[in-house]
Amino acid sequence: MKTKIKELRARDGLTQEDLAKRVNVRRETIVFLEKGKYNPSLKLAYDIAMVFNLSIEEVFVLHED
Amino acid sequence: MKKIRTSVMLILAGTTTFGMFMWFYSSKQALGTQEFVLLGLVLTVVAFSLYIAYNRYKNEKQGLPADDELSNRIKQKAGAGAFMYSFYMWLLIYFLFRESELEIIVPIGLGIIGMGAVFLVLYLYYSFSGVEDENEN
Repeated sequence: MKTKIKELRARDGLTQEDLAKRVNVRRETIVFLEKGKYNPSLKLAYDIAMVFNLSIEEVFVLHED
Repeated sequence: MKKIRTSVMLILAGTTTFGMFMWFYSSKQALGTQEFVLLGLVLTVVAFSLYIAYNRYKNEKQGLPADDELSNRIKQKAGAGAFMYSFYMWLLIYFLFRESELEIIVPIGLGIIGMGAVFLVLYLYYSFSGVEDENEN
């Protein structure tokens, strides 16, 4: 799974730590999410999407067609 | 509660190290290879505990949670792996020690330390490489 978290963080001027605090996870979790090495739970995906005021499918891309 | 858990980990690591050194210091016999291997294993476990406690403390200091869904997933996967591989290990230990005249505590101790070592290796592996996309086809 690919994510646009890194680009969206840059857009909103958020650091990994800021985002981690907003969604209540460790900074390492944000690192792994950005690298595509971890699939988040539905709740975490929803919380992250809410931070950026986007829908889940706009932040997380399962298949690039 | 989470801060208490970190403190307990540090106290246990300190107590274990202190107890280990006291045992070696008060021991009248000369230390052999077996004792040094045991000391090495215990110190490895203590170092591992300190590494986890430091990470937890660092996160708590930054106002972040010490545990989250990824860290719990890593613990689950490492625990499941240690349990699964231990079947092979116990079988090997059985064949190696079935005709041995050593005390029963030796193979049992080896098995327990082995399971701990496998857990440690898997925990570190998943901590650095992440949990693969296991739900994807």
